[in-house]
Amino acid sequence: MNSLETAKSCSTYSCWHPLFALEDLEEGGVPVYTQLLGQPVLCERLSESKVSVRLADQQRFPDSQAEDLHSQVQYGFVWACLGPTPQPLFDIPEYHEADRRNVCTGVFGVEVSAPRAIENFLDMGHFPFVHTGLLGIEPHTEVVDYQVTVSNEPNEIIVTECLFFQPQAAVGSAGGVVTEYVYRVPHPFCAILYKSCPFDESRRDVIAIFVQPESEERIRAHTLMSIVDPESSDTSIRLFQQTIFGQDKPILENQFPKKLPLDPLDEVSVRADRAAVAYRKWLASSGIRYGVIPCTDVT
Amino acid sequence: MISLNGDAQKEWIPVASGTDLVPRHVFHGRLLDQDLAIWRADDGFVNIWRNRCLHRGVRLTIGTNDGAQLRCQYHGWCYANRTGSCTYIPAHPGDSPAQTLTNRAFPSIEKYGLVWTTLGNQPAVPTVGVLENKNIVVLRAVPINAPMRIVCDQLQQQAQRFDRSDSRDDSKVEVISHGPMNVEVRKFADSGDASLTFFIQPVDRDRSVIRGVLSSDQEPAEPMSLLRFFSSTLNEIRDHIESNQVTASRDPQKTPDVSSLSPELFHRGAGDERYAGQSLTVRVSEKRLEADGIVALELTSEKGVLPAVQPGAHIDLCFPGKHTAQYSLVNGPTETDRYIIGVKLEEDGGGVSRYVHDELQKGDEVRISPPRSRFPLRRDTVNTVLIAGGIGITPILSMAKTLSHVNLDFALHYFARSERHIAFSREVSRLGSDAELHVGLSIEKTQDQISKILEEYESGTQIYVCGPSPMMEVVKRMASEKDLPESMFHTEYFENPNAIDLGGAFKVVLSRSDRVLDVPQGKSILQVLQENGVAMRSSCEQGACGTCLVKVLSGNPIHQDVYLTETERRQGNWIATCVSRSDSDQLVLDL
Amino acid sequence: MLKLYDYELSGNCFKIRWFLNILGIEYESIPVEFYPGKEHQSSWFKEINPLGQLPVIDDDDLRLRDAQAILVYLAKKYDPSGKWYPADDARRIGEISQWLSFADSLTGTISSARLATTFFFDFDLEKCQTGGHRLLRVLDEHLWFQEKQQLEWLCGGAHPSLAEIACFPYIALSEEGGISRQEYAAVRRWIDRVKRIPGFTVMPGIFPAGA
Repeated sequence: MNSLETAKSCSTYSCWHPLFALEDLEEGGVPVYTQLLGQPVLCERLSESKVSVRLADQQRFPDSQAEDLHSQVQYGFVWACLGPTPQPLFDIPEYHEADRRNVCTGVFGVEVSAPRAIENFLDMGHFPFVHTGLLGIEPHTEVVDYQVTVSNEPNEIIVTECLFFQPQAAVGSAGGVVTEYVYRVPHPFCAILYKSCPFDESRRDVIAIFVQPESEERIRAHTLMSIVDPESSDTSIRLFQQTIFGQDKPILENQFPKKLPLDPLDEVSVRADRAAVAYRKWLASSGIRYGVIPCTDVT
Repeated sequence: MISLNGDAQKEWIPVASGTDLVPRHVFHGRLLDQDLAIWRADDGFVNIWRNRCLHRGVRLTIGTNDGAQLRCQYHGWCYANRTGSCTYIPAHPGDSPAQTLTNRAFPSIEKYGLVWTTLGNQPAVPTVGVLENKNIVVLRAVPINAPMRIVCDQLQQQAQRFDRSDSRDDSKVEVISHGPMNVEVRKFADSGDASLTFFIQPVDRDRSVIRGVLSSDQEPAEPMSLLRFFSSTLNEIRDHIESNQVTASRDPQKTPDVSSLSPELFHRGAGDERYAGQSLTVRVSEKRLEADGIVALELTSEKGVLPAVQPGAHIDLCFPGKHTAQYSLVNGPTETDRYIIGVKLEEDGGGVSRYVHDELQKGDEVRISPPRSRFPLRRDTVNTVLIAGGIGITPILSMAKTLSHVNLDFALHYFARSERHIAFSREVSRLGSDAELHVGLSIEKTQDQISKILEEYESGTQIYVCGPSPMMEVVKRMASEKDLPESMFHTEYFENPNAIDLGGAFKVVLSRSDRVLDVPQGKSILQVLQENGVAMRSSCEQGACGTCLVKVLSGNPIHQDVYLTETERRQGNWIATCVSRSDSDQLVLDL
Repeated sequence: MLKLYDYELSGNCFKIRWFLNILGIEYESIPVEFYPGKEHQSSWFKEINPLGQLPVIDDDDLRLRDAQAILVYLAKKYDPSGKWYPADDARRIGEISQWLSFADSLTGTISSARLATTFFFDFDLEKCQTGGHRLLRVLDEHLWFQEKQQLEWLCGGAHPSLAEIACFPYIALSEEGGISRQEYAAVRRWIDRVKRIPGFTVMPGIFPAGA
């Protein structure tokens, strides 16, 4: 089954997928190519907030007026859906708060499947080893038990009571503290992290990863920071997150198989992997086949 | 997994040079599409493992080799030398990883300066006649983007390049093919009786490595010049071959399609077979009097590798006609080729220690259990205090060695009755100023000393104690008087000092099979279960070791063990079936 | 205080951060958003370096561009041992200069491959990867023969040199650009040795060696 057929065989076909940060597209500029679910697509920014996305066969018809795909601009990104009936995109209410700094950090290319990237985003156990000195530090390696719930309406995974000792949790904070995280997975290839805001304890900073599956084993990872921070510049907000992502990239690219195995016997999970286990089960029960190795049917 | 022909899988094939495996390094090998992590431990043992951490599939070749274990870069999982078993999971520092967490390992043999392995079962070791008893010079290995068969053919056709003489036309170079992976070349110029043997390692369907070896009776006069000559000649041959090849995919990051899995690809541990059944047979390789009344035994296996040891683990020693007895392992992370235990002579024991002291000889066979880890060591603390009394030094010493190996701060306090009673003194002194001996103290002075040690307690410190029951009770009492948190305190009792009361009858319900069994006065739950055909593991049978623990789904246990913590007892989720009883009419057990 | 115009994910900037750490020199890091902001091509930065490239240093009244040039300056000015760049040893600095030029070739191949795959720069990826492999083959053979002579570094002598600083980063990051180092066993061993040089520091994409 080729990439497109796999996509069509499951709900990824009717999901919205991110393509570009709007600010990376020039108004009235030359249309830009990218790849989505194995298909070349062409994206054009027609006006300040209006875009068009269409399928294009890059080699044969470079300027083809192929059919327009469903597209929208949301959270600072251009989203497209390959299928005819897109499901509604999830909500991030914090994005619209007046004093939020909404920063796109720049898209990263990674040779791995989208689900592997999401699982990495949900994982805390790697903080002391991969994000040493930033999100974790040895010997404070313990992942204490946390809670995972799967809600039906909307169909999302929520992970709460995640506690981890961090030397420097965000660009605006200093020193080390036990940080509390909440994770939310509202889409097979998108995940959102909520953490306590160092500038206002009553509010939460939001970091969201929107993964664009170029193919089953290659992605463009878009990150949105939606934070309360009157002090830091856009650049320094971006640079911190780029550092974190740059540290994850070699790990993701050294994982095999690249697609996420959904059979629980294929990889060993420990209690710290509750969120990952729930995510794999959720993908399996949602019938997702893109970027995963489905459970072998045992009769 | 590709198979060039079924036979290639079964052969011994060289995958590295011995000199490739330098200390504290992980070599990235690849054979017949199987990615390999190859590393030499400080004790010389060569590990060849499937290059994939069992947790999330990250390549072990980006991890680190600390001389005794390979640590995965992603979550820091540690895998031990020789066994390939995971011995520490940092996310859960208080737990012992299950022994089934063992990497798929392939056998390793070093011969002729090369490191060999086989992906299949090949009992015999590789033998190459022309290399036996010769002076060997291993040439620079040349990776080449061409399949093995083409390389083999071309090497034979291009062999005249190895002739250094001017007239290549009169070349008398002799080429002998020993199969698709082995080409021998003789009579290259003034080589005399020297011969070149080329092994062609099939990396994957598009790539190979030419591993050449020069063998001769005498050491060559100018080895460097020879090495350079052969290196550049092989480069020429490589360039010739590659220029005639259709450019194949260069990128070994692409694995073959794994969507149709062979179960083997995700086989969690070849070690599973090793732990089938509950006993191993080992041989006494050393027996010595360590201290007054304490004998040290070193036990080795003739059949393959011994299961991995985690600090604080113990084994059961079984002798026919005698009770089983448990002994803590003194091993540190670098001691993976034998088990080391200390056996104290117990006057009123079941005869095991008497047998070990008086009758057991070096060379004798012994039946033991695989190591059980009920006294695990956390490695996530900034500071650890270890307190050992008498024979309690055995598990404590293994902990000290581990903390020392991973460079974590600790202090070991060893209480011994007299100089003559100090066991494993050489190993203790190797710990330097991290270890303090307290010899011949009276009971009061011991209590003072323990009080002093506990006074210095800082938040975040973990304390591990093992020793005679009276000492353990003192430590526990003082800790509670000083309000030290229970969670930082870990004890191992070798025996349960409390009297066990087997009074009161009740029922147990086995929830999985819906059976109800009567537990009468005078019989333990464990006995009743065993008498009724329920397979139960047990060891000390006195509530000290935790082996017979069963999950309680409902009911009120009366705890008489010394293994569970106060919190665990209050929660009532577990029961030590060998000694504990029930306050309620019945207990529902997860059996 | 010395100023460094810096970008965290740039291997060339990392060379300077690393060498300054070895020398124990304090500096002020001025972030220039290479990606996605393309700040290195902005008018304000082009006044600092008309070539629009990072890194650049300002040291007192001296402004220098080009990672390799900056390394030579820092070594001569701040390394009292003279071991990183022994300016009086013609043979050695000849060798080192060879490898500084090699480092430029690495930037043009391995680094470009990484920029193409990670940041979507418009480079001919296959050409960069082929070029990178060609260089790594040469390097691997060189290092193998060094090892045979009990030499641990790119140049002769018992001490690493600027050759190590200049060549290491992009080689260590090669896999991000799809250039595997699996077949370059001598390079992989050299990478471990370099990571153990006192004063080694990391950048995203590079992990420290074990003890």
